[in-house]
Order: sequence, then C-alpha cells, then structure tokens
Amino acid sequence: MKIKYVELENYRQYKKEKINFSIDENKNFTIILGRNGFGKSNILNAVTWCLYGTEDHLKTTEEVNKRFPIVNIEVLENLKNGEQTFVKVSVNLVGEGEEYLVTRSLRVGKHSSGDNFIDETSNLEVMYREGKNWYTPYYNNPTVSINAILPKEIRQFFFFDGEKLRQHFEKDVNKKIKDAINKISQTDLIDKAIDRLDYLRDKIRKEIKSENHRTQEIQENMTRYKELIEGAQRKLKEELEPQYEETTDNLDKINQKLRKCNVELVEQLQAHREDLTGTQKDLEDKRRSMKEKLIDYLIQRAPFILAKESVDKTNEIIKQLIKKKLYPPPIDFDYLQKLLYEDKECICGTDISKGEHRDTVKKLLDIAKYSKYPSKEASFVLSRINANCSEFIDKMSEQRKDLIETDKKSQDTAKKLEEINYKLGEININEIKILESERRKFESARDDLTKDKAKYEIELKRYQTELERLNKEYDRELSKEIKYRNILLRKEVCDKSIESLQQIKKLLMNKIRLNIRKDTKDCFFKLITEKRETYKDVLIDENYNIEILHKSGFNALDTLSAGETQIFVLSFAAALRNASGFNAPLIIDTPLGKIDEEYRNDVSKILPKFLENVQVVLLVTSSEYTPQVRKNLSSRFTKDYEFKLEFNKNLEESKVIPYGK
Amino acid sequence: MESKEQRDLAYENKDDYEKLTKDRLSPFYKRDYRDVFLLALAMGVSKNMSRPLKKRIPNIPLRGFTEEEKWFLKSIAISKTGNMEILSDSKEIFKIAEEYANGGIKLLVREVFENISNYDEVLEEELREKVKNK
Repeated sequence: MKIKYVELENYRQYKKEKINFSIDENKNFTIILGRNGFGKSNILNAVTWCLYGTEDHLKTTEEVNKRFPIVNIEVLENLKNGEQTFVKVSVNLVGEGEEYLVTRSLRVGKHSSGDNFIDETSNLEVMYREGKNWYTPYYNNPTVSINAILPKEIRQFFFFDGEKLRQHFEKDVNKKIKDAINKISQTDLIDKAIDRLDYLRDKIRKEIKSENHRTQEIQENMTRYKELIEGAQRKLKEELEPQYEETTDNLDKINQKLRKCNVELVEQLQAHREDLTGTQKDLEDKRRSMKEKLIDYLIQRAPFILAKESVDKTNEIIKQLIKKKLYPPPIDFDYLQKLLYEDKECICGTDISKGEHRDTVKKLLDIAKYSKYPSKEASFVLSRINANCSEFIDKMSEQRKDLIETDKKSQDTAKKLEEINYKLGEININEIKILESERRKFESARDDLTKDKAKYEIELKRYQTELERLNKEYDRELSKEIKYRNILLRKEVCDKSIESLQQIKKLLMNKIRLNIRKDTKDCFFKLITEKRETYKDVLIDENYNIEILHKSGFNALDTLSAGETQIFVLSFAAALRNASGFNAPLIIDTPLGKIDEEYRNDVSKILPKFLENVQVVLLVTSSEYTPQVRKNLSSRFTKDYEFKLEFNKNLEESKVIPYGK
Repeated sequence: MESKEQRDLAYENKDDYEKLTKDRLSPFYKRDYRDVFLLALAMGVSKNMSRPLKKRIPNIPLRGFTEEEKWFLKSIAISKTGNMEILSDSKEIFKIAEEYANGGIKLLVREVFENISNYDEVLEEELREKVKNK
C-alpha cells in the first residue's frame, strides 16, 4: 500500500491542505523541506492520528499543547458562540488494484457561553473504492482494516522521527524487538491453530469414559490445572500486562518531559538513572528467579537429607534380603497363591490340597512374599535419593555464590541510584520536582506490577509443568486399556501437530530474526563507510539482544556516537521493514538530523538503494537537505514531489508549496 | 475383599499448614501442602518424634507425590518397622508417615517463624552439617 495523498482540514497549523505523495515505483521519494516549527512533524502526526488515533511525534511541551490544541487555533477562535466544526485528516491508500480512504474527524466548537470544546473521542471511517464509487466494508471495523494494512504495534518502524528513534532502543529493547519480530512473523496464526488443536485434544479426551479410578482422578486434576492456567493467563494478559504497559508508557512520557527540561545536569542524571534503573530491574528479576530456584531445590532435597538414616537403613534391609537370596525371589508369589488356594493341583498333576506337598508349597510362598515388592524400582529410586544427597553441597554452594554476587551488584546499583535521586532532589526547579514526584509514583507502580507479573508467571509455569506431568501419566494409564487405543492415536496426532507447530513458530521467528540481523548488518556496513573496518559483526541473539561487535571483540553498541547510532537504528528499521512483508510507506522526520556531516553524504547515497520499491517520504530541515544530499537523492524523485513548507504572511497557517517557487 | 485405596494423606490441624503456605515471607508461600508434609515428616523422623493424630483431616492428595517421594514414605516405614513386609500394607505406611509428620510439624512451624527472614539459610546450614557428618 502507498499513500497517494494526505488531506488535512483544520488540523493544527493547516487549514485546508492536500499533499500528494509519489506512488511511482522508481521515483519513490517525496521530499518535504521545512524549518523547525513550520509543521513538518505535524504531517507525520496527521498520518498517525488519522490511522491510529495518536499523535506520536508532538515536539512541543504539554503546556504548549494546551494552548495550541489539535484544532487550528484561528479556525476555533473565529467560530461564533454555538457554532461547531471538524478537525479532519484523510489518508488515501492505493496498491494492487485496491484503494482505500481512511478519514478521522473530531468535533470541535464553541458552547453558547463562549467556552471552547473539543470532543474526547474522534470518529474513524474506512472506505474502499470500486469503479467510481466508494463503499464501506461489510464487516465495517475500521481498526481491523487499518491493522491489515499496517499493524499499530509496528508503526514506529515505518513512521518515525529520526532524532528520536534512538529512544525506542533505550527501554526494553529486546522486548520491543521480540514483539516486532513476533508481529512480523504473524505467529498469531500459528497460535490460533495451536489453540484449536488443544481444544480438539480436549474434546477427544472427553470421549474417554474410563471406569478406571486413577484415570478419572487424573482427568479431574487436568481440568483443574487447565482452569488454573487459564486464570493465571487471563490475569496476566487482561489485567497485569495492560496495566504494566500503561504505567511504563506514562513513565516514558515523564522521562521524555524531564529530558525536555533542558537542564544539562538533569539530563545527564536522568539518563544515568534510566540506565541504572534498567540494570537494577534486571538484577532484581534475576535475583528473584535465582532465589526461587534455590528454595525450590532446598525444599525438594531437605526431606531426603534430614531422614537419610531411614533411607540408608532400608537400603541395608534390602541388601540383607538379597544376600539371603530372598530378594528378589525366584518364584512369583501370586502364582503360588493361586496354585495353593484355587487350583489345588500342581501342573504335574500332584494333589496339593493337603499333606506334605501342600506344606512345601506353603514354605515356598513364605519365601516368595517379597516378589510383591519391586526390587529394581526400590534400588533405583533409593540410590537416586542417595546420589541427590551427595551432590547437595556442591549444587547449593554454586547457587548461593551466584545469589550473593547478584545481591552485591544490586546493592551497588541501589546505592548509585540513591545518590542520583538525592542530587536530583536537590535541584530546585518546580516543574522538575512535580515531574520527579510523578515519576517516582509511576516507577513504584511499575515495580509492584513487575513483581505481580513475575509471581503469576512463576505460578503459570508451575501449573504448566504439573499439567504436562499429568498428561503423560494420563496417557500411560490409558495405554493400559486396549479399547482406548484409537482415541489415544487421535490424541497423539494432536500432540504431534501441536509440537510441530510450536517448532515451526520457533523456526519462523528464528529465520526472520536471522534475516533482520543480516539485512541490518549489510545496511549498517554499507552506510558506515569510514569505520567499516572498526566493527566486525552485528548480532541479534536468541534473546533478541543486539550487539555490534568491535574488531577487538567487545560489544560497541553503547560506545557508538550519536550519528553512528542513528545509522544503526535506520539500518535496523529498514531491515525490519524489508522482513515484515507489510508493504507500507516509510515516513521519516529529520532522517539525517543526528548524522554527522561526514556521513550524510554516504547515507543519502546508499539509503535509496536500500529502500528500492518502497514509498519514502522524507521530512527534512534545510541543514540536512544540503545541495550534496539533494543531488544524491535527485534520481529518486521528480520536481512534482519536492515541496517546502511556508507560513502565510500573517503567520497563521502553514502551506505546502512546490520547492522551486 | 480388597480395601479401598487411600487417596489422601492426613494431618491433624490445618492451621500450621495454612500459616506456612499463606505467609508471604515463608519459604512455603503458595507451595503445596505436600512440600510442608514431607519436610515435617523428615523433621519428625530425624528427631524421632511420632505423634498419633487425634483426628484425621485427609487433605494432601497422594497423586501429587513423585515416585521418589512415595518410595521415601515407604523407606521410612521399612526402616521404622525393620521389615519389608510393611510394603503390603499401604495404610500402615501412610499412618507411620502421618504420625511422624504430625510430630514434626510444630517443630517446622517454630523454626520457620523464628527465622522467617532467613529460614532458607538456617535449613541449608543444618543440611550441610548432616551431609558432612555422614
């Protein structure tokens, strides 16, 4: 899908404006040049507002936003009391014989009292074109239609501010990358298939009406654990995760505002604190999980060690019986018992209902009584208990040492954080203080939510392990009853299918991860011409951690200059876009803003090659759009799609005009 | 006639189990009663404290025990009676276990709550001593 035009009505500094974007395959770039404050970023905001209802790239502070709301201020002021109008943004999308018009509108106006009002919710409409007419899709869910064009969750890799892109990579970077890859791989389809198979498996299981007491018991338990798993998953998905997202978003916003306070020291301290808070959170998570494991191990092993004498004594008793050749006995107890009390006749025909022969068999029966006790199982299990006891000290020491090390690191980090908090508390700037207090409130809420989430995740894991164990036991029990063979076979097909789908999901995500890694690396090394020899490799490991390997072997990600980071992030965004399969346009605000002049030339030469057949809209300032950069990009656009922004003479309205005018 | 197989192990008083699994600081927080039972049993055995149950509240499902744990119960019964034949009487095996657990539970509760902030360390130390002295 490509954007053919964007139409803005009463939106921020635009009264009525239609901006055409190039949809040509080869001349795929549209350039919009504008000075800061002329409304460049608001073109990007208009697109995200129209499609997703959020203005992701507002550059002004909250106070300024209150004075200058989404509606064009002059239009609002000129309304008479009791009059109303609409803020409207339309995005026209075309591609592969399809054409959509997405329109979002918001009612604004003046009450009869003269007070302004802006509706809280906007109205979204998606229409598609057939011939000359426009229609509303029959399912009429505009959000679903837009998500099919470009999912909301990955929009930041398509519509972004070059100067701020780095911030996306500062918080929960591996989670963001994992989420993006997940979304791109469209694994939700596989998840749905797995759910369906799981449902089918349950249905198959319900066909079994076993009279076996144990089977019924396991089945009841499985149902109970399934309910527990569903409950924990619901709690996590519907309650804790959205709350966590909301809290971290709020925290992000406050952190961004704190950055904007433009106090150099505050910025430095704030950045340092964010780093340390991330480290501290990781350490706390790590510590909690280590302690859980340690206590788990301790509680499992403790009974066996405390009562080890009993296990040893039993072992000794078994040994004595073995020595006396009573254990395991050569004759089966049940067989002898049947002979003596039911058959009353030996297989050779001898009568054993009375007399000397009966006495002999009775003696044998006394020896054979131990055959009821499984000798191999006893020896095996008891020796395993002993083996576990003897490795206890080593295993505990290892776990305890790791825990103490993590504790120490966590304490050091907490101390550093305390120092920074103290320093920040000392700075007497009212706004910062209010923001700081809000930040603490959200941070504490986030920490509580993190703990709650961890608690439920651990519980969930425990339930899943138990269910898995019950599943196996259930199959084992059922396999003893021949009549269930067919049902078991059907269930096994489900089991194997689920296993295969899970494998496929893993493979798919891995493949996409590796593709993204390769594309990021290729693009990064192409763009970073000067220092190509300095770096050896770009890695995205299985946990979605990113590393840029320096030729000396260390991870240089944190040591990159602002320009290099920008190039890296642009490379990653381009790779992600290539791998996604979503043929959405790329709109970049200030793409070269943080790139040093020495690299700008290279980047503007190579980026178009990397973004072939992709619709690209660049919103640039004149300091970025140097004659050299313009020359480098000139093969990719025509003069019809090179614009500049200007304020009208009363400085009330922005207009998009051809570049040459 | 074969008697009905026992499904649950019993304790005498629910309070101790509840206290240990509901207190956020307890190492048994949110754990199964089975874990509490096994450690109480081991404590009862190691201190030779067996106490018959005044009333039986069967509430610890045997299905939750692993094979290793089931053999642990059996080995305690064998060692205490000195005879393998006890294996043919599962009721008696469980009765022995329940009585030792009943003997050990008070001790366990006291030890946990007297050392609530570091019971894991206290228990670890005791176990280390035990392993070393073997």
